[in-house]
Amino acid sequence: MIFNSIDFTVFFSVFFLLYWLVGRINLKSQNLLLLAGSYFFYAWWDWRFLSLLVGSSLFNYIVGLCMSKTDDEKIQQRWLYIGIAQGILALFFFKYYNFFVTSFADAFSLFNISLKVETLNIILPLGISFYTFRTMSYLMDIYNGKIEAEKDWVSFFNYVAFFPSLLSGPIDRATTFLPQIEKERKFNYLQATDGMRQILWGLFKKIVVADNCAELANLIFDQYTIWSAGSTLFFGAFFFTVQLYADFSGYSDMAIGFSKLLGFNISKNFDFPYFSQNIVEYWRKWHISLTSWLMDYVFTPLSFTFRKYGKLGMIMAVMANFTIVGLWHGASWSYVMFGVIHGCFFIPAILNGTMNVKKVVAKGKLIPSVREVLNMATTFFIIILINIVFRAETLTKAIDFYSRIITNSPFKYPELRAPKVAVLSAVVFFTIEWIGREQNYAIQTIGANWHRAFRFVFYYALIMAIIFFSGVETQFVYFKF
Amino acid sequence: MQKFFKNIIVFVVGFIPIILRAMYVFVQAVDVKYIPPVRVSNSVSFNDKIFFCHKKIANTLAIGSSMTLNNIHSESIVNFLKSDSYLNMGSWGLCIEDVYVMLKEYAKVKMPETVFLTGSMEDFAKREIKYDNSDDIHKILTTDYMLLYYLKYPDVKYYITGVTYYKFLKQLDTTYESLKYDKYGQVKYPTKNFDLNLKRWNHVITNTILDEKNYDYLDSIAIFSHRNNIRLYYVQTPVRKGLVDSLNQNKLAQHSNRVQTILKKYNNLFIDTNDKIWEDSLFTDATHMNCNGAKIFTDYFIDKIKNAESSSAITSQKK
Repeated sequence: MIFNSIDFTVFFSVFFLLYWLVGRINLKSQNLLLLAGSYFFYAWWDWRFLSLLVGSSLFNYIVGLCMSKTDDEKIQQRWLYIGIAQGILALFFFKYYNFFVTSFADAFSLFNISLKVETLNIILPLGISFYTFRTMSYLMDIYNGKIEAEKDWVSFFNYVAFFPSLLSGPIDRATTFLPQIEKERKFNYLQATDGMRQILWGLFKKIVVADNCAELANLIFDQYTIWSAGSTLFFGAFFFTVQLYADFSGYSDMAIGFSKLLGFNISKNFDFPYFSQNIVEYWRKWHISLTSWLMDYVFTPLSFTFRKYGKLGMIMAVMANFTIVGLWHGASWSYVMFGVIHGCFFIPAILNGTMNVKKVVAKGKLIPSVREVLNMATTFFIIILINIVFRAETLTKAIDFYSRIITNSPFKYPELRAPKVAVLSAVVFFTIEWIGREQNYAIQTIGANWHRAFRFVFYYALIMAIIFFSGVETQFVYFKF
Repeated sequence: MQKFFKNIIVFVVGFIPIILRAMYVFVQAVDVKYIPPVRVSNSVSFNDKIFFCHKKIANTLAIGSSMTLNNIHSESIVNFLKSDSYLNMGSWGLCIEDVYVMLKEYAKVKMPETVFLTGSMEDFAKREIKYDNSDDIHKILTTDYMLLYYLKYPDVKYYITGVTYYKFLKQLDTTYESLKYDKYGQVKYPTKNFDLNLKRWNHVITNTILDEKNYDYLDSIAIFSHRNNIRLYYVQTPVRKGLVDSLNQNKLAQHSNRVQTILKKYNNLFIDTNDKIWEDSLFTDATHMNCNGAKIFTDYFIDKIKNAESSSAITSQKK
């Protein structure tokens, strides 16, 4: 069941009414219904994997309780390792087994040693990376004394399986989610309308912008060898870059919007990353729930461990962090390289001590300065180029793609004329994003002071665009992670 | 909460006139009968063929790609069967995997007695068609409520922008894209005034990159037919005379052998029509035939079927 489907619309409409009706009885029943709804939502995809989700929740719930029952740090640490090992093993088996086995055999083949390896035909359970990271952070937060272990199993199971963010995030933390689920929730009109608005914007991003751009990007990437102009390939990378952001941030907006309708505030995932002035800033604004997770549980401990090496230690920590960012996306060397390249762009910032410098682009102004425009354009250009590694299925294909951009007359006019809808939707999208860049999402305050009729006309226009200018339906890119 | 629902109602009520107006303009502007059929896949030809086959029950099916759609001559088949319980379910771009899907879905409606599968090497290439939900195909084939399926597959853009194109497909028969069927579902290309495309005319089928999966699916089709007592005839289509020398004969022979081996395992008949020279005048491109070509081709393989069946009958009598 995906957010932009009839199935989900029916499911959510019924669930929404029941949820608030049951909420009038008591909190426990409401939370139980939420859990049942989440499991129904997950089982709709494949009921067999529901047991994995339930099993993982149960295991981590018990580990959490065991950790809280002792004051002995060593025993706590042991339980933590057991919990983390379960998460890593599940990820390893379902996501990385084939990758490591084949890479291992490939490494031996370099020395003319042929290893016969068996790969497995494994289905990747939807959302496994997201809910595993949720359970791991829960245990680490208990260990670090940030939270107490959750006693109420319904609350904890809801934290792991909360359906709006189950399949593609945001990766919420127990520290922010659990207090909300334990507190009685009252329907809040402003929060609900804000949620509706964010869902509408998310739908527009996904259906109009991402799906239209995907059509062109897929056409160019899937048969990249037939295009004779390098500019056509660059064109494909540009549209993929727009697609990736509109797709993933659109999904996140919908997830956050649906959560708001249920009375929850979950983490923000994007902060207009394509208006960043350098790659460091870009990573502060892209997939925030993942990067902040890695910052807290990987980068910070590593930089602490490597602190004796000074700036070199910091570089080591950043590179390790970004290798994990790459690997998190998938079991492929192209994703590892994607992470490593991004990590390399941090090195100058570490060396000149500007890694933590935060600048807000054109704050309070509509028009940015020339310098800001140049910085944004350069950053965006770099992101487009790096995304080729992300989109190409293998590293070999990515290298071939790059070489074709350079060698196949890069300045020749592209052979493909982009569909007007794709171009127009991208232009409208970026314009609205620019106008609303100081809000949580682009249209949060657009029309806030207008007469209701005019505001409605704006929303009608978005709905009409969704109906009449939808692209060919494509799966959410981040579902495969 | 009341305020929230009140606002939702006001919002929806305000939207209704806009939608009604848009629908009115749309209905005024287009011929409603050319609204494309339910978008069950990304292929308009496939969707249209499902729509055409809606509530049509037949004992004999021809399933396959445009090789089946264009090259199997309906009247020749009907004469051979001495019955008009026949349906051509051919559609552009179907690979063998799609044929399997279509056969299984139709079998849920009515188990056919005979199936003709006309294929070339191109039908073993990578799958192009994407279904939204292939399990719905048999339901669409029999539904009394087609409108519900329009609501289930609500690709408004496809239905609206596709009208002009669909009208073009249904009215013209001088282009490759024609979907102007005869009463059995064949598209007959005229022998004169056809809009030939040079690239297609000179296309060499042995350059096709084959997808191994399709051989497995052919095996599945053969097993399925065997288990359900369906007589399956696989007819390998010919290439026009002018292109025979450009073919990679080794590759073609390898392919034919594999197909034949699979079919023989389950006693299904494999008919290769490349054993004679087919004049260029019978074709509209490398492999697609015009109406005249389709008639000659169909009569030719029917004769081969008759011969093969009579010789096997004699053999079994002798035994």
